[in-house]
Formats: sequence, C-alpha cells, structure tokens
Amino acid sequence: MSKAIALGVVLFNNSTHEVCRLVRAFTANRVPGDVRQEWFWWDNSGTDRLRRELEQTRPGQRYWWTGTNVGFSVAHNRLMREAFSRDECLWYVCVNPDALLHPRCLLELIQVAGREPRAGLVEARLFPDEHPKQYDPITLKTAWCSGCVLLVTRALYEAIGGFDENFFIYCEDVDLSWRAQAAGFKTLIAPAALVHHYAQGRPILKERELAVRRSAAYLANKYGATEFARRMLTEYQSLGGPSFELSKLSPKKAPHGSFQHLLRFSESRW
Amino acid sequence: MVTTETPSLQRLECEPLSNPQASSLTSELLTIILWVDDGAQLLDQCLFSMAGQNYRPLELIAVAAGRDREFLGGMLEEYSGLEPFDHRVLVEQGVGRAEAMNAAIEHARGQYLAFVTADQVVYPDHYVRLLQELSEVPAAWAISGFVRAYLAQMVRGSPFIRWKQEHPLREPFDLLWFHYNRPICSSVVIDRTRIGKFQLALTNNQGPIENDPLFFKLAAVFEPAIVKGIPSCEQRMTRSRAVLEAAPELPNGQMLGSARELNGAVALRLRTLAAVDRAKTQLRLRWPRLYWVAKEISNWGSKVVSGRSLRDNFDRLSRGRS
Repeated sequence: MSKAIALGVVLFNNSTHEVCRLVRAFTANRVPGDVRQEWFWWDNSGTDRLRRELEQTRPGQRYWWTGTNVGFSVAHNRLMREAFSRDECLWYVCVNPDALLHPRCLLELIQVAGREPRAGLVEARLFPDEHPKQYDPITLKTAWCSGCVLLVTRALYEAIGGFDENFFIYCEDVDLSWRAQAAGFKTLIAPAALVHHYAQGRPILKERELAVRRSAAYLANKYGATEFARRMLTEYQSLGGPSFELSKLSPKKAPHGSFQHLLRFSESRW
Repeated sequence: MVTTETPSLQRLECEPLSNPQASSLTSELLTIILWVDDGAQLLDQCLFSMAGQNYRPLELIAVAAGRDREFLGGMLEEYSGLEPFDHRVLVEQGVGRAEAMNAAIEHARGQYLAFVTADQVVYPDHYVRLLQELSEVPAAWAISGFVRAYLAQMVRGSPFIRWKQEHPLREPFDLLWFHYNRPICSSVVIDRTRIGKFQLALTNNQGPIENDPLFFKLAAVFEPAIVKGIPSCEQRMTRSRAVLEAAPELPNGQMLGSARELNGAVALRLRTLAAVDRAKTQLRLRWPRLYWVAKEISNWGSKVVSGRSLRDNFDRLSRGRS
C-alpha cells in the first residue's frame, strides 16, 4: 500500500506572497520515494480570495472556506479528520502559513517519527532563532512540541484525537503534547527539520496578547495551576479583554514544574 | 575615576562622501559576500537564512576556497528557488582569503555591500532594518547588535545550541568599544555611494573576518547608523571558534597615536572588561554549575558592598561610571 503525508495549512488573511512561498517550499521538499504528499487548506479569512491563488499554483487542491473564523484548533481538527479518513495517510503535519520549510524538513520529520517507537508528535526546529526550550540532543525528547510545523502520527490521532477545541489559538500545542505524554506517546524534536519562522520582530498586537493570555488561563485551569490561571486572567483583563469565566474542571496532570517557566512551559537553555 | 559620556576614542569624523564610481553601482541592490571555508559545516543553515531574507533586490556572491563550483552552485540554486535572489559562485584557487574576498568586492554590483561567513545566520528582517536606518540618516554604513550561539556538539549533522548570548550595541557609538568587542561581520552594511574614495579591501587571511583592519578603519572614518532593538544576526560558535579571540592590537598610525595615549586608561578598562567577558563565557561553557555558584556569590557580594547587582555594576563600569 502506498503511504501519504498530509500537509494541513490553516489560512487567515495571508498574503499571496506568503501562500506562493509556502507552495514553493512544499514543492521543493523531498520525501521518501514511496510517500505521497497531500495538501489540505482551511481558510478562516472573511473571503475566499486565496482559493483562486491556490488554484493557479496547483490545480485541484483541497480547500475549505466557510466565511467564519473557527480558530486554529477546530480548523486543524477538521483537516486531520479528513486526512486520516484515508488509510494510506500515516502522518498529518500542521504547517503555519507564514513558515518557510527547509527542503529536507518533511524528510527529517518522517525519519524521526519512524525511528522512535511510540512517537506521537514530532516538531520541526524553529529557525534562525530557535525556541530556547530544553531538549535532549540524543533521545530528541522535548517537554512539548510547537504547532508551527508539527507532525502528528496516525497512532496518536487514533488514541487521543486532535487538539482540544476549547483553545481558539495558542497553547493548544502544549496541551496536545501533555495529553500525548499522558497516553504514553513521545513528544520529539527533529533538529535537522528546519522551519524558517521568526516571531521576535513582530509588532505587539493587542489581539494576540489577549489570545495568548486567554489560552494560557484555560490551559492552567485545565491542569490545576490555579495561581497561574488567575495571573493570566488578571493580565487578560488589565489589557481590556472581555470577561469570561473559567469553568470548574477535574484537573489533569501537567509535567512537574511546567508553569514555573511561565509561557515557555519548560526549562530554557538561555 | 574615568568618565566617558563622550566616545572614548576620537574618530576622523568624516561626513558621508559621494563615491566617484557610484554610477556603476545598481541602486538599491544589496550584495552579500559569503565566505565559505573548507570546514563550513553550517553552510546549509547560512544559505537557508539568506533565502528567508525579507530584503530584495538581493545578490549573493559565494566565495569558496577548495570547494567545487558545482556543489555550491547547486546549493544556491536550491535555496534561491524558495525565494528568488541573484547568486554567483566565485572560486579563487591558490590565493588567500583577503584576495578572494577583494575579487568578490570587484564583482559586486550593489549599492549596498554586506559580508557574511558560512557559520553565521541572519534573521529575516536584518537587512531591512539596517537599510531602513541608512535611508533615514546620512551615514556611510549601518550596524546592528548580534548574538553568539555556543554549540555543544553536532548531533546527526545538526547543531545543538547550549547557550546564546546577545550583544546589543551601545550608544553613542564608541570606536574603542567597537575595537575590543568586534561585532560579527554580518552586523554591518555599507552604502558604497557614500564612502568617497575609501578603499574597501581586506588584508587579513587569518582569524575572524571582523578582526580585519577594514572594519576598524571604516569605523574610524565614518560615524555609523546604529540599529537599536533586538540583535538580528548570529555567529555559531563551533568548537574551532569556541574560544573568543581577543581583538588585535590597535592599528598603528599617526592619526590614532595621540588619541590612543589620551585614552590609555579607557582602553585598559575596556580591554579588561572584554577579557573578563571572555573568561566568563569560557567558565559558563566548561563548568556551568561552578559558573552559577560563582555568579550567585559575586552577586550577593556586590549587593552587600555596593547595594547594586553585579550586572548593574558591570554595566556602569563599561560605561565609565563608578
């Protein structure tokens, strides 16, 4: 049976330039000879302008648009369900539309996922300014995997499903990683799978700051870190976010000390 | 007590000068000259960072010693396919680094000129920020802060970064500070239409490129535009470069002679601080636990004696305040 790797991209008001660049990177990526690439696009934008752009770059692409922004988690879950509904799809890769994949990125992700038994998630390494969170350079284990370019194995999806849809955007990757670990799967990094993605120089946007804090508060509440949740909620409200209640949940277990490292959720190398 | 609210070494203070050969340069084009030596394990990452540059138009000239043209040409072709840019390979056999790089400068068509080595990476908005700064002030060159990333090992061909150290630039620009701290070569962009008859030529074949007298002479003649904010280029400190080299002796020359004597005390202080910084880096890399213990004790001692943290005292000393 032939194998397939599904690349899922959630768009939101992206420029034509970004989308074309991503398509060039997908095309330039090498995968093993018996693996087929499949592309899935979910557009959260207000218009379906990008449908035409995508058709021009490569006809017959799978593109969904509803006219409403359903968020990152919901959109990826729908794409994942679509991708894994085919038996030949062994891996689903979440890809941020503003990322630029190294030509060997997918190959490295597949190799790391294939080498480690019980691999659940494999993240690409952010480049050129990588995330400072700690990882083991030999076993490649990491505390959590970033959703920027993230490979999800079929085994993990069948065991725990996709993202928690209560996260609109941000922190859903940390939650998925912790759920994967709780289910006995490994969360790994593929150090040679580079993805050019740079967030440091971005302007500080109020909407983004609010979304980060709201998601972090939900995450902390879910894992019983009451003090951290309260702190995030206070920051959220002081930034002018509309009030919301954190529902009472039976707390899940987070890796020890994760919330001590604030929004990094892991020990840092620098 | 030494106070240096003003720069500690006098420059010649030339205003930007129009270059008689400016008409032969392509306006707005940025030419980046990439030095690739024999052991460039990190070349792939350097080229990938070039593909991710937000600035266009861009021309990359790869200068190689001992590598074959097809190998480098193939890599450049692959990366320029991701985000198109012009590229050329210059293979100079049997000549030193300086001569090969100078040949590349002769070939460069761009109004703007930058240098990079294969063990450096450049963040996506680096050149946009440098050139934006140059467009706003009448300076002949611009400079940004930089990062040194210390690699513990190469694992399966990929570097594992143990620690990064940011080096923001201090203001106002201080020539002596520049000399003893030698920002990496990719932190600099030169506008060739504003340097008059200043000779852009390297002379050193050994050591880091940033130690070449060219950069000190440029800084001694023209005031740079300084890009503030987050450092945006990075030197990968491999095992062969893990020991930071001390800056070379100050260049001899009549123009600097008197200034050097006048500023002897300042020079001694900056040289000492640079040496302390190098020693700290080595301690942190070799014996990280000992480093943390020593740091905690010193910090505690500093607060008891002066009421200020060690970092505060170090910053004040480097700025000439006691």
